Amino acid sequence: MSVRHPWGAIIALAYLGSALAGPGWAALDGTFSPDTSGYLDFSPDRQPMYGLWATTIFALTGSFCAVEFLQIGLFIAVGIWVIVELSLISDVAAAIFAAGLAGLNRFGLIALAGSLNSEGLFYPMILVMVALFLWWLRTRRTGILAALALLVVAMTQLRTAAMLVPMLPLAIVAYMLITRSRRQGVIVLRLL
Amino acid sequence: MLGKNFLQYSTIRDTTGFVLLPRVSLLPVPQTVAAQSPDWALMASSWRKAAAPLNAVELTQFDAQLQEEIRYGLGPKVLLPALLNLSSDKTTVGWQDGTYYPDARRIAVEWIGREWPTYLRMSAYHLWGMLTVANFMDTVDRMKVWAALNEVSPSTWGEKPMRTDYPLNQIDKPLKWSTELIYRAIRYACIMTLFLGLISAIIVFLQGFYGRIAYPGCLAVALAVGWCVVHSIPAGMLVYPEFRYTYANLLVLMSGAAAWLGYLIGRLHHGGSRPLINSPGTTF
Repeated sequence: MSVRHPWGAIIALAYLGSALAGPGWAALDGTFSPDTSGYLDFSPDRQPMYGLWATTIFALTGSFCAVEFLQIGLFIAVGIWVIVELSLISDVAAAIFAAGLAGLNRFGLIALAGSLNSEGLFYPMILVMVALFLWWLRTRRTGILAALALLVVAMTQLRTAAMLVPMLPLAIVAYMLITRSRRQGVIVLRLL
Repeated sequence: MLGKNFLQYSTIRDTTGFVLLPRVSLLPVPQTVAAQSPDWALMASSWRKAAAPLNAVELTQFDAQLQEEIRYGLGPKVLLPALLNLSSDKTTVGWQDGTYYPDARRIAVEWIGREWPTYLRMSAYHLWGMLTVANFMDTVDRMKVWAALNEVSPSTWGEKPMRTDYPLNQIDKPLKWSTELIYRAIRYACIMTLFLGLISAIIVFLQGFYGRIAYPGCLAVALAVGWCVVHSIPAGMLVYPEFRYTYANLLVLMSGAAAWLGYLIGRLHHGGSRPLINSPGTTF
């Protein structure tokens, strides 16, 4: 990619530099927000996925700072994946997206991605969803669609706000089936 | 799994009452409630009066401040004690452990059922605010919201001064010119992307209907807008445009718009972008 798409690599590196140099890193000290305990204690008022994620990383590393750093690292990494996917379509689009993401990071998005809340996983998941979709647009592999569907379901296990999100792929599948059956109907009529 | 279900669709405990009760903030107060809680009726009257000159985006932010105050203060301390004939201390403790969530749900649902046109109008405003990042409103709007918040009955804020750090970010201060410029650019870009997504959705729908191959850029931006809408509907119905929701929408809208632009540039440069699902006999 770096040889065939040098601008894509440059844009990705520029974004990485801005993310590493940006604000927010100093605040990563493992401090709990008012909502954190609800997730970590598997409160009945919360969805389970973030608690599972954070407690697993904590069990492995013994530090909530590690959870925060891992989340930010994940957010930056999948942001770069989206930039790379976009650069395969157009360097201009990749540059605009990278600039937009860097701007939002300055407004505190990256700090939210590092917080001990469901957003810490939700924002990277959104970027993974985008990257997978762009990858699918490029390659049209069915397996990517399956991964996308799983990801969309996983979003509902993270935040109740995402409860309607699985409706979108269902609506698409229904629409595809309708248009396909309609086309097959037209072919049958023509044959007759 | 620690009291959780495998693939649970919503939280184990029904938190609808906790979430929904604050949405009665700007609804007219029914006679029965006014009779049982004159304090609430007085405060709610001042909220509606202060909200009258606000536009849709300003209303969402004004309501945000009220909703948080009701959720953590006025709901368990003023409204529930009056309607349930209990002491304020008892309902406050019971609110923290979820005991009164079912009562709050019943009260909110009945109230919303009576005043559903106002509730739907407010929900539509919140949905629009969610999709257009209402929390990035400009200084003029912010100052109008700040003025309105200062017009409400002082008992709304209890003994403490009104919070200016959450949910509204430093609402008492005007924005720097550079921040205002960026906020405006973001909000207008969102509105343009929404319209682009709607038009693209129609194009993709028609292309599928007539058995043609969909433009990938159109599909990307239409799906981005679709995702934002389905993500914003529950929040629009239950809460308000909070920054954690709007950032999620921004990420998706920005990605959809960038993909659309990318495929457009590719089409202009190469005389046609690669079709999306262009295997023979496959549409969409």
